[in-house]
Amino acid sequence: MRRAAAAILIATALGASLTGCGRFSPDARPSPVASTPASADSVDDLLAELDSVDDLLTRSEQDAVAGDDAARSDDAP
Amino acid sequence: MNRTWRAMLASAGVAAALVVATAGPAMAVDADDDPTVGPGASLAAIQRAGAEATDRRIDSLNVAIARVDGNDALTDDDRAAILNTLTADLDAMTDLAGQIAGDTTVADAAADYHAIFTDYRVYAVALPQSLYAASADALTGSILPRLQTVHDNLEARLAAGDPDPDLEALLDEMQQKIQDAEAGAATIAADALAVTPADWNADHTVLTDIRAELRDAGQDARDAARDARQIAQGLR
Repeated sequence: MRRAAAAILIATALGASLTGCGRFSPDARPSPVASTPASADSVDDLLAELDSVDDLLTRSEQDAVAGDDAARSDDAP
Repeated sequence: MNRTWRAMLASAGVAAALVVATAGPAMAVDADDDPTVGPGASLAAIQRAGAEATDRRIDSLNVAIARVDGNDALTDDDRAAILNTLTADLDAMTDLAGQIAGDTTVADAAADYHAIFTDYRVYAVALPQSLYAASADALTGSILPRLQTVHDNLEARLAAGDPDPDLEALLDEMQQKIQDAEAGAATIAADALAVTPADWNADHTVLTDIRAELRDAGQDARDAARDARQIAQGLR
Protein backbone atom coordinates (compact mmCIF):
# COMPACT_ATOMS: atom_id res chain seq x y z
CA MET A 1 0.00 0.00 0.00
CA ARG A 2 2.79 2.34 1.00
CA ARG A 3 4.72 1.40 -2.13
CA ALA A 4 1.72 2.10 -4.30
CA ALA A 5 1.14 5.46 -2.68
CA ALA A 6 4.78 6.39 -3.03
CA ALA A 7 4.81 5.35 -6.67
CA ILE A 8 1.82 7.54 -7.38
CA LEU A 9 3.45 10.49 -5.68
CA ILE A 10 6.70 10.01 -7.53
CA ALA A 11 4.88 9.71 -10.81
CA THR A 12 2.90 12.84 -10.06
CA ALA A 13 5.98 14.82 -9.12
CA LEU A 14 8.03 13.74 -12.11
CA GLY A 15 5.15 14.35 -14.42
CA ALA A 16 4.72 17.78 -12.97
CA SER A 17 8.38 18.62 -13.33
CA LEU A 18 8.75 17.49 -16.89
CA THR A 19 5.69 19.35 -17.98
CA GLY A 20 6.39 22.34 -15.82
CA CYS A 21 3.04 22.36 -14.15
CA GLY A 22 1.20 20.53 -11.43
CA ARG A 23 -1.17 18.76 -13.74
CA PHE A 24 -0.21 17.69 -17.20
CA SER A 25 -2.00 19.91 -19.61
CA PRO A 26 -0.04 20.62 -22.77
CA ASP A 27 -2.53 23.25 -23.80
CA ALA A 28 -1.78 25.21 -20.65
CA ARG A 29 1.84 25.80 -21.60
CA PRO A 30 2.62 29.07 -23.30
CA SER A 31 3.59 28.46 -26.85
CA PRO A 32 7.37 28.45 -27.25
CA VAL A 33 6.85 29.77 -30.74
CA ALA A 34 7.23 33.50 -30.83
CA SER A 35 4.03 35.43 -31.13
CA THR A 36 4.13 38.73 -32.94
CA PRO A 37 6.05 41.12 -30.72
CA ALA A 38 8.08 42.45 -33.66
CA SER A 39 4.91 43.86 -35.10
CA ALA A 40 3.25 44.48 -31.77
CA ASP A 41 0.90 47.37 -32.18
CA SER A 42 1.19 48.67 -28.66
CA VAL A 43 3.29 48.65 -25.54
CA ASP A 44 0.55 46.58 -23.97
CA ASP A 45 1.21 43.91 -26.58
CA LEU A 46 4.86 43.88 -25.54
CA LEU A 47 3.96 43.63 -21.88
CA ALA A 48 1.67 40.73 -22.66
CA GLU A 49 4.51 39.06 -24.52
CA LEU A 50 6.76 39.59 -21.50
CA ASP A 51 4.13 37.98 -19.28
CA SER A 52 4.26 34.94 -21.56
CA VAL A 53 8.06 34.91 -21.45
CA ASP A 54 7.94 35.11 -17.65
CA ASP A 55 5.68 32.04 -17.61
CA LEU A 56 8.16 30.14 -19.76
CA LEU A 57 11.01 31.24 -17.50
CA THR A 58 9.14 30.02 -14.46
CA ARG A 59 8.55 26.64 -16.07
CA SER A 60 12.16 26.41 -17.12
CA GLU A 61 13.27 27.13 -13.57
CA GLN A 62 10.81 24.59 -12.20
CA ASP A 63 12.27 21.92 -14.45
CA ALA A 64 15.74 22.74 -13.16
CA VAL A 65 14.63 22.63 -9.54
CA ALA A 66 12.90 19.30 -10.15
CA GLY A 67 16.20 18.02 -11.53
CA ASP A 68 17.85 19.09 -8.29
CA ASP A 69 15.22 17.27 -6.27
CA ALA A 70 15.61 14.09 -8.30
CA ALA A 71 19.38 14.23 -7.88
CA ARG A 72 19.10 14.74 -4.13
CA SER A 73 16.81 11.76 -3.83
CA ASP A 74 19.44 9.34 -5.07
CA ASP A 75 21.44 7.17 -2.77
CA ALA A 76 24.88 5.71 -3.04
CA PRO A 77 25.13 2.23 -1.63
CA MET B 1 17.94 2.38 9.98
CA ASN B 2 15.32 0.02 11.30
CA ARG B 3 11.95 -0.55 9.76
CA THR B 4 10.10 1.56 12.30
CA TRP B 5 12.20 4.59 11.55
CA ARG B 6 11.98 3.94 7.84
CA ALA B 7 8.22 3.67 8.08
CA MET B 8 8.03 6.92 10.04
CA LEU B 9 10.24 8.74 7.58
CA ALA B 10 8.33 7.31 4.67
CA SER B 11 5.09 8.51 6.19
CA ALA B 12 6.54 11.95 6.74
CA GLY B 13 7.81 12.00 3.19
CA VAL B 14 4.45 11.02 1.81
CA ALA B 15 2.77 13.73 3.84
CA ALA B 16 5.27 16.32 2.66
CA ALA B 17 4.88 15.16 -0.89
CA LEU B 18 1.15 15.50 -0.69
CA VAL B 19 1.58 19.09 0.44
CA VAL B 20 4.02 19.77 -2.37
CA ALA B 21 1.87 18.11 -4.98
CA THR B 22 -1.09 20.15 -3.87
CA ALA B 23 0.56 23.47 -3.23
CA GLY B 24 3.10 23.89 -5.98
CA PRO B 25 4.04 22.76 -9.43
CA ALA B 26 7.09 20.93 -10.64
CA MET B 27 8.40 19.81 -7.30
CA ALA B 28 9.82 16.32 -7.13
CA VAL B 29 9.52 14.32 -3.97
CA ASP B 30 12.18 12.33 -2.19
CA ALA B 31 11.76 9.61 -4.71
CA ASP B 32 14.46 7.14 -3.95
CA ASP B 33 14.38 4.23 -1.63
CA ASP B 34 16.62 2.97 1.08
CA PRO B 35 19.35 1.03 -0.70
CA THR B 36 20.76 -0.44 2.46
CA VAL B 37 21.02 -4.14 2.07
CA GLY B 38 23.70 -4.65 4.62
CA PRO B 39 25.94 -7.51 5.51
CA GLY B 40 23.98 -10.54 6.54
CA ALA B 41 20.88 -9.62 4.55
CA SER B 42 18.94 -12.62 3.45
CA LEU B 43 18.28 -13.49 -0.17
CA ALA B 44 14.59 -12.77 0.38
CA ALA B 45 15.36 -9.35 1.88
CA ILE B 46 17.55 -8.40 -1.05
CA GLN B 47 14.91 -9.60 -3.47
CA ARG B 48 12.25 -7.53 -1.73
CA ALA B 49 14.45 -4.44 -1.79
CA GLY B 50 15.31 -5.08 -5.42
CA ALA B 51 11.68 -5.40 -6.39
CA GLU B 52 10.83 -2.13 -4.64
CA ALA B 53 13.76 -0.25 -6.17
CA THR B 54 13.11 -1.45 -9.69
CA ASP B 55 9.35 -0.94 -9.44
CA ARG B 56 9.83 2.62 -8.29
CA ARG B 57 12.24 3.42 -11.09
CA ILE B 58 10.05 1.77 -13.69
CA ASP B 59 7.13 3.94 -12.55
CA SER B 60 9.26 7.10 -12.63
CA LEU B 61 10.74 6.29 -16.02
CA ASN B 62 7.36 5.54 -17.59
CA VAL B 63 6.04 8.89 -16.42
CA ALA B 64 9.18 10.71 -17.54
CA ILE B 65 9.09 9.14 -21.00
CA ALA B 66 5.50 10.21 -21.55
CA ARG B 67 6.30 13.74 -20.45
CA VAL B 68 9.41 14.03 -22.56
CA ASP B 69 7.34 12.99 -25.55
CA GLY B 70 5.03 15.90 -24.88
CA ASN B 71 7.65 18.50 -23.97
CA ASP B 72 7.76 20.98 -26.83
CA ALA B 73 10.65 22.92 -25.30
CA LEU B 74 13.11 20.15 -26.11
CA THR B 75 14.91 20.06 -29.42
CA ASP B 76 14.27 16.99 -31.51
CA ASP B 77 17.85 15.80 -30.99
CA ASP B 78 17.73 16.26 -27.23
CA ARG B 79 14.34 14.61 -27.00
CA ALA B 80 15.69 11.63 -28.93
CA ALA B 81 18.78 11.41 -26.73
CA ILE B 82 16.74 11.59 -23.53
CA LEU B 83 14.24 9.01 -24.73
CA ASN B 84 17.09 6.74 -25.72
CA THR B 85 18.50 6.90 -22.20
CA LEU B 86 15.18 6.60 -20.41
CA THR B 87 13.92 3.68 -22.46
CA ALA B 88 17.25 1.89 -22.09
CA ASP B 89 17.05 2.40 -18.33
CA LEU B 90 13.47 1.19 -18.34
CA ASP B 91 14.48 -1.99 -20.14
CA ALA B 92 17.38 -2.45 -17.76
CA MET B 93 15.20 -2.03 -14.68
CA THR B 94 12.76 -4.57 -16.05
CA ASP B 95 15.58 -7.01 -16.73
CA LEU B 96 17.15 -6.47 -13.32
CA ALA B 97 13.82 -7.02 -11.60
CA GLY B 98 13.58 -10.40 -13.27
CA GLN B 99 17.19 -11.27 -12.57
CA ILE B 100 16.97 -10.38 -8.89
CA ALA B 101 13.75 -12.33 -8.49
CA GLY B 102 15.41 -15.34 -10.07
CA ASP B 103 18.71 -15.13 -8.23
CA THR B 104 19.43 -18.12 -6.04
CA THR B 105 22.39 -16.81 -4.05
CA VAL B 106 22.87 -13.80 -1.84
CA ALA B 107 26.00 -12.80 -3.78
CA ASP B 108 24.22 -12.75 -7.12
CA ALA B 109 21.21 -10.93 -5.74
CA ALA B 110 23.39 -8.34 -4.00
CA ALA B 111 25.39 -7.71 -7.16
CA ASP B 112 22.25 -7.28 -9.23
CA TYR B 113 20.72 -5.10 -6.55
CA HIS B 114 23.66 -2.74 -6.46
CA ALA B 115 23.63 -2.56 -10.25
CA ILE B 116 20.26 -0.81 -9.99
CA PHE B 117 22.10 2.15 -8.50
CA THR B 118 25.64 2.07 -9.79
CA ASP B 119 24.98 1.10 -13.41
CA TYR B 120 22.02 3.36 -14.15
CA ARG B 121 21.69 6.24 -11.69
CA VAL B 122 18.12 6.90 -12.68
CA TYR B 123 17.62 9.53 -9.99
CA ALA B 124 21.14 10.90 -9.80
CA VAL B 125 21.75 11.26 -13.54
CA ALA B 126 19.04 10.23 -16.00
CA LEU B 127 16.20 12.29 -14.59
CA PRO B 128 18.21 15.40 -13.60
CA GLN B 129 20.02 15.56 -16.91
CA SER B 130 16.75 15.33 -18.80
CA LEU B 131 15.27 18.13 -16.69
CA TYR B 132 18.31 20.36 -17.00
CA ALA B 133 18.31 19.81 -20.76
CA ALA B 134 14.62 20.68 -20.96
CA SER B 135 15.23 23.82 -18.92
CA ALA B 136 18.17 24.88 -21.09
CA ASP B 137 16.36 24.12 -24.34
CA ALA B 138 13.49 26.32 -23.21
CA LEU B 139 15.97 29.15 -22.79
CA THR B 140 17.80 28.71 -26.06
CA GLY B 141 14.85 27.64 -28.18
CA SER B 142 12.11 29.99 -27.12
CA ILE B 143 12.75 32.33 -24.20
CA LEU B 144 15.87 34.06 -25.45
CA PRO B 145 14.72 34.39 -29.07
CA ARG B 146 11.49 35.92 -27.84
CA LEU B 147 13.37 38.33 -25.60
CA GLN B 148 15.57 39.30 -28.53
CA THR B 149 12.48 40.05 -30.59
CA VAL B 150 11.09 42.17 -27.79
CA HIS B 151 14.42 43.97 -27.57
CA ASP B 152 14.38 44.74 -31.27
CA ASN B 153 10.85 46.06 -31.05
CA LEU B 154 11.77 48.29 -28.12
CA GLU B 155 14.86 49.48 -29.93
CA ALA B 156 12.77 50.56 -32.91
CA ARG B 157 10.32 52.37 -30.66
CA LEU B 158 13.12 54.19 -28.84
CA ALA B 159 14.74 55.20 -32.13
CA ALA B 160 11.47 56.64 -33.37
CA GLY B 161 10.97 58.86 -30.33
CA ASP B 162 12.85 61.53 -28.50
CA PRO B 163 16.22 60.43 -27.11
CA ASP B 164 15.98 58.92 -23.64
CA PRO B 165 19.40 58.01 -22.23
CA ASP B 166 17.98 56.08 -19.27
CA LEU B 167 15.84 53.83 -21.42
CA GLU B 168 18.64 53.43 -23.94
CA ALA B 169 21.00 52.34 -21.16
CA LEU B 170 18.43 49.79 -20.02
CA LEU B 171 18.12 48.58 -23.60
CA ASP B 172 21.90 48.10 -23.80
CA GLU B 173 21.83 46.20 -20.53
CA MET B 174 18.99 44.04 -21.80
CA GLN B 175 20.97 43.16 -24.90
CA GLN B 176 24.00 42.26 -22.80
CA LYS B 177 21.92 40.04 -20.53
CA ILE B 178 20.44 38.24 -23.52
CA GLN B 179 23.91 37.66 -24.93
CA ASP B 180 25.22 36.45 -21.57
CA ALA B 181 22.32 34.05 -21.25
CA GLU B 182 22.82 32.78 -24.79
CA ALA B 183 26.51 32.19 -24.18
CA GLY B 184 25.88 30.51 -20.86
CA ALA B 185 23.04 28.30 -22.01
CA ALA B 186 24.48 27.31 -25.36
CA THR B 187 26.06 24.01 -24.32
CA ILE B 188 24.16 23.19 -21.14
CA ALA B 189 21.80 20.66 -22.69
CA ALA B 190 24.59 18.86 -24.53
CA ASP B 191 26.83 18.92 -21.47
CA ALA B 192 24.09 17.59 -19.21
CA LEU B 193 23.11 14.82 -21.60
CA ALA B 194 26.74 13.74 -21.97
CA VAL B 195 27.00 12.81 -18.29
CA THR B 196 26.95 9.06 -17.71
CA PRO B 197 26.42 6.98 -14.58
CA ALA B 198 30.13 6.16 -14.67
CA ASP B 199 30.92 9.87 -14.67
CA TRP B 200 28.73 10.36 -11.65
CA ASN B 201 30.21 7.34 -9.86
CA ALA B 202 33.65 8.88 -10.30
CA ASP B 203 32.55 12.39 -9.34
CA HIS B 204 29.29 12.99 -7.54
CA THR B 205 29.47 16.71 -8.40
CA VAL B 206 29.67 16.16 -12.15
CA LEU B 207 26.35 17.94 -12.69
CA THR B 208 27.05 20.76 -10.26
CA ASP B 209 28.78 23.16 -12.64
CA ILE B 210 26.18 22.49 -15.31
CA ARG B 211 23.45 23.35 -12.85
CA ALA B 212 25.24 26.56 -11.84
CA GLU B 213 25.53 27.62 -15.48
CA LEU B 214 21.83 26.93 -15.95
CA ARG B 215 20.99 29.02 -12.90
CA ASP B 216 23.12 31.91 -14.15
CA ALA B 217 21.64 31.79 -17.64
CA GLY B 218 18.14 31.76 -16.22
CA GLN B 219 18.93 34.75 -14.03
CA ASP B 220 20.35 36.66 -17.00
CA ALA B 221 17.15 35.98 -18.91
CA ARG B 222 15.11 37.15 -15.91
CA ASP B 223 17.17 40.33 -15.77
CA ALA B 224 16.67 40.94 -19.49
CA ALA B 225 12.92 40.49 -19.11
CA ARG B 226 12.91 42.89 -16.16
CA ASP B 227 14.78 45.50 -18.23
CA ALA B 228 12.33 45.05 -21.09
CA ARG B 229 9.39 45.58 -18.80
CA GLN B 230 10.92 48.77 -17.41
CA ILE B 231 11.57 50.10 -20.89
CA ALA B 232 8.06 49.25 -22.07
CA GLN B 233 6.53 50.95 -19.07
CA GLY B 234 8.78 53.95 -19.69
CA LEU B 235 7.42 54.20 -23.21
CA ARG B 236 3.83 54.37 -22.08
